[in-house]
This record gives sequence, structure tokens and C-alpha cells, in this order.
Amino acid sequence: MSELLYKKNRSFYFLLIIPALFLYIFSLIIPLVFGTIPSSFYDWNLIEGSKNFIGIENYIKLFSDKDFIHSLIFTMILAFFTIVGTNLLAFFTAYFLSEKLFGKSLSRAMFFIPNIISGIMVSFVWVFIFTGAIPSLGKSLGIDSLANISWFGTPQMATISIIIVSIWQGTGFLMMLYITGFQTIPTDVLEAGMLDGCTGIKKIIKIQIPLLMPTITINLFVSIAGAFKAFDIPLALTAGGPSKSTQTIALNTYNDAFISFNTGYASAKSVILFLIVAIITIIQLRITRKQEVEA
Amino acid sequence: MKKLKVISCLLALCLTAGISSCGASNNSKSEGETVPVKLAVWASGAADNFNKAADEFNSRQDKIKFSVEMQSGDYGQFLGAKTAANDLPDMFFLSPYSQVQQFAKNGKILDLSDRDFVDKLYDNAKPSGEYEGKMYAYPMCQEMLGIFYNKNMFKDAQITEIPKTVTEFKEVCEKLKAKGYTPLAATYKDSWTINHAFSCLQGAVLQDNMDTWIEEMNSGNGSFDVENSDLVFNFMDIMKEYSGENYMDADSTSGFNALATGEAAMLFSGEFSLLNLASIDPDLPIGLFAVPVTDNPEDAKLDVDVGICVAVNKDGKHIDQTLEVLDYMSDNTDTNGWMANTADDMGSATPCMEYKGNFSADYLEDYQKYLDENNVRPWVYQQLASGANNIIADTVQGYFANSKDKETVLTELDSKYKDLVK
Repeated sequence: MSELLYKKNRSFYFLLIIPALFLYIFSLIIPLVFGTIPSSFYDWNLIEGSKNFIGIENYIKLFSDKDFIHSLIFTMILAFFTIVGTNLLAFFTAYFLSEKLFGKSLSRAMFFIPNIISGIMVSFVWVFIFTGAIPSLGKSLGIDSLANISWFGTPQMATISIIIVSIWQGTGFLMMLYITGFQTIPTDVLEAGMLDGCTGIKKIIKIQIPLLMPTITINLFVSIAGAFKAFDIPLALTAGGPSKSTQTIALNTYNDAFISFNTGYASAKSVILFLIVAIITIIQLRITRKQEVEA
Repeated sequence: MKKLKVISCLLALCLTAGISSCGASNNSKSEGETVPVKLAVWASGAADNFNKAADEFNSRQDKIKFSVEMQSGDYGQFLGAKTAANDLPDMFFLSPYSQVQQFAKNGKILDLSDRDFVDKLYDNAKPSGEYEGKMYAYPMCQEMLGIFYNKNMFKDAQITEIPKTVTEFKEVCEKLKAKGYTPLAATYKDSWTINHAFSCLQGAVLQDNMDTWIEEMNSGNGSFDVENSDLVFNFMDIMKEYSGENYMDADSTSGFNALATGEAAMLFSGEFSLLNLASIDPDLPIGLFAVPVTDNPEDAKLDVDVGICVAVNKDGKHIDQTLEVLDYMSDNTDTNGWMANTADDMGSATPCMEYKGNFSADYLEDYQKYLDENNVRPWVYQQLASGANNIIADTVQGYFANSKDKETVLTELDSKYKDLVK
């Protein structure tokens, strides 16, 4: 039926996306193709106004730039933990909030709220929690080890802080998608499974996860792209510190573009970031699409 | 059905148009005869005072509408974008020395050598706005970096003399600690505060060799590793030891508040940190002394330098009117003008010329004493190439976080700075 509808209304659907597509091309594709990519071949300092063609020199320089390589590794670590953390947490919260539960709507709203608050605000709240609330709690409970944790004191602890806050903020949105996914699973399939003795964890693995694959595809896509572009939370929580140890690629690129004004070099970095995210998401889409099944 | 489709299409179009108009600015004109003059400033706690001073100027005449625009985002980004688009405001703040020189070299700012303020400036303030012997910017205010201390706590810990050597400083810290006080307020989560501190310490060990060292550095031959670098790191060790638990978790705001609320006895920072004190406890007696890095009391000089330069856009539309505003800003005889509104209360930077204000405070008296005795020296980092502050801030922060040792810090500083000046 849906195929038939799609064929019948194809031109109408296309007409609907034209305005948005136009904006997308105008504000994203054109600047990328005619701005970022060409300027990555220039030695361009925005303030001095000097712009000299230097070929692929910017790209060569990238591979010996310790700060950039470190930010790349840090972004990978951050991405891994955030993607796994948000998806697992979102999946299980969605699972429990899809069941018949008292105060379900309220709980859903509570979980979703962090997502609609800006990353900067979220970070400010967490800075207070890390440096004010947790130490006070530790002191009043007499637990010195809790009170004396320096959340931003070492590169490792700063990384953990960023991961915690990123997961806390990202979970709500993915949870909503998982909840919608759970609702699309036909109840007759679940009931049939139950009659055959498929319950509990078995039900999740054998029935729900396979039927949720389209949602998982989308969620992984969203969280991978988001994790690699991480900017606001690291900026507001640690500003990349201590000593640039928690600088993501986006933050590193930003600093080059707008603090040092090496516009050409920063463009080369954004092209690399674009390629990394594109390659990873294409691979992920191919893998997860293959796992999708029809109910 | 058809009607519904048409409506849907229109709605999609409206939605897109709505989004695209979000960024459109509202260019309102019709200012009448008045000429608008804009001054772009970076975000700081002084913005209210700037606005007050601008209102005062506007109330005196009706030909020019002077407005101060605070850039809430990144100021460097703002300058870069405006320079690239050739759309700089009439006047704007620049960092002293290297940034002024950069803009002068690129022909973006007006030569102000013939203005009245030039002769009135203190001699030590002049180089900050000069390029090739001409004055390209108005050094608006000078700031002091040193150790601000809570006099009550000092009295309570029976400290009668301010420390003039590093050994005395350590003793003071011990006495304060023994009394149960946190000797130093931590601000080290914000790396820029570390740049300030390192710059003072480096200046203190360079002493009279500062100019030669800066020259060597900027020609790409110098090194951060100098004869008495040990003393710099020794002082940073003291800072780490006496800044309380979890000192890396405290940013500048919490550090400034720590002094103001009496949580800590001393704060290594600038007068701007006292803006917090002004709103928390303006009556708290706060003194100021120069950071003692060596064991020679004569080396303890206060780090005083120009903090803000104001430049005039060479391609501005209303240059005459802009210069009129600049004259207002640099008039040290006006008792209700720019200086009275912006440089005459707690935490405000002081003018770079003689000015008799009404505000008095202990720390200002201490400051004046250092000035009168000419016991001051400029900040090192401002005369290094533009961008040196970020390199120093980020690298030295590793020493505070114990993720880098002295040798690593010095090697990294050298290699990154060489890349910068290349």
C-alpha cells in the first residue's frame, strides 16, 4: 500500500522538500564546495588578509600537528563512550518507559528535558554539580574520597566529566526515538512470541532488537555524527583543558579558525573531519541497514 | 485533496522562509541629523560603566550618537570576520602591542599621532599603541597584575610586613595555612589566568634583560628556558601547594569570589578581579603587593601594563565625529566624563595618564606607591607575537595539572612559539 501511495504522490513529495532542499544547498553544500574545500589549499590569514595558494601543504602539515592528532584521538575516545553510553542508556530507558508504568509521560518528559536545554547551560549546571554539589555532599556525608575528587584536575578526569555530561544530555533524544520504535512493533508478533515462551531478555534479543533495527540505524547515525562534532559541552566544561587534553577536533578547528585566524589550515581540518564523519556513517549505515527486517 | 496539497506546499515554503529570515538583521535608519559612532568592546564586567559614559557624552550634544557595543561572543572571531568583510566599526578595542601593530601594518587603523592625548600619556604606556614610531591607538587604561590580599586575614595571622622575597612569601603562606585559611585563591581551570601568572614570573626573572629577550624571541632565536627559569617553576610549585584542594576545578570567577568572600587570603590576578568584590563586600580591606619571585627584595616590581587600546577605523564613514568621541574618552580634565564613569571605582583599570579620581581604596594606594617609585615592569606576553598568550596558557596549564613537567613545558613552549613566529 505504502509503495503504491509513494508512486502516486512522488512528485508531490518532491515538491514538499524543494524549499528545504534549496536552503540546504544554499547554506551547506555551496559554502562547502565553493568555500571550505578551495580555501583548504590556501595559506590564508583572515586578519592579515594574506591568501596564497599552497596546494596540499595544509594537509601535509596536519599529519605532524601533535595537537590535531591528539584532538583526533580524544574525539574518537569521546565518541566511542558517548555513542555506546547514550544508546545503551536510551534503549533501556525506552524499554522500561514503554511498559505500563505509573507516571510514564512525566518520566519521559524528565528524560527528554536535558536535550532541549542548550549544551552550554547543561555544562554550567554540571560544573556546579561537579565542583559545588558533589564536594558538599561528600563532606556532609563524611566521605572524603567523594569530596576530594578533582573533576577537572587531570586529563583523565576531565575526559570522564565530559563523557558523563554528553551521555546525560544525549540520552533523551535517542530514548524518544527508541520509544517510537518500540511502539511500531506489532503487538501480535509479541503475543505470538509470548505464546511460544519467548519472554524477558529473549524477547528483547530475538524479537524487539531485530524489529528495532531501523531505529537503531537512525540512532547510531545521529549519535555518531553528533559525537564527532562535539563542541559546546567540551568548550563550556573544560574549554579543551587542562592543557588542551580534552580538545575535540571541532574545538581544535575552531581555535585555528577564530583564535589564530589560520583560515586555510582550519578549512583543511574541517574537510578531514567531514571525510571522517562521512566514511564512518556510510559504513555504519551499510552495516545496520543489512540487519533490518520487516515485521 | 488538491487544495490540501497546495496548502501543504505553501506551508513548507513559509516554514523555510521563516527559518531563512531568522538571521536577517533589521537595518533601521532614519537617525535624523545625528551621526552614529560605534565602539566595539570585548565582553567584561565594565560594560555597564562604558554605557554610562556613552550616555553622558550623548546627553551633552545631539550631533553624535555614541554607542558602545559589547561583543558577547568571541571578540577575536568578531574582529576577524569584520576585517575580512571590510566592515570594522568606527572604533574598536585592540590588545596592546602586537595586535595594534598587526592592524597598523595592514593599514586598517588611523594614525593618531597628532591627537592631544599623545603628550598626556605616561611614557611607559606609549609603546603599547605605537607602530613604526607613530601612535596608532589610544592606550585607554593600564592594569596591574600582582597579589591582592585580605588585610584582615593577614592581621589575624600576625603578618605585619608584606613579603618581598620568595622565602618570605612561603612563610606568609605557612602562617595563613596554620591559621586555617586557604592562602591562595585558585583560578587555574581558566588557562588565561595562568598566562597572566607565567608572564609576571617570567618578567621577574628576566628583569633588565626583558627587552633583549623579547627581541630574541620575536626573531625566532630566543627560548623560554632562561637563566632563572627554576625560580619561575619554584613559584608555581608554591602556588600549587597553597591553593587548596582541587585547585584545578576552580575557574576565575570562583577564584575572584574566594577572595571577596574571605574563603582565601590572597589572589594572584589583576584589578579586574575586584569587580566581584565590589558587588560582594566592597568594604573588605584589600591590599596589593608585587609578586616576589626571587630572594632579592629589589626584584619585586609590580606588573603594570596597558590592558586596552582603542583604535579608529581608517575606512570609517564618520572619522571626524569618531575623533571627537576619542577626544572625549581621553580627556583627563573632565570630572564627569569617560574616565569618571569608567575608571573611578573598585575593579576599574586606571587611565594611562594623570587623573584625579574620587575613588580611593587600599589597593589603589599600594598601586600608586609602586608607580611613584617607578617600581613597575611591563607584561612579557603582550610584547610577544600575537597568539603567544594562548600558547603559554595552554602549555603551562599542563604543569598545574601535573600532566607536564618543567622540561616538557619549556620544550613545548619553545617549539610552539617558533611555529608561531615563523
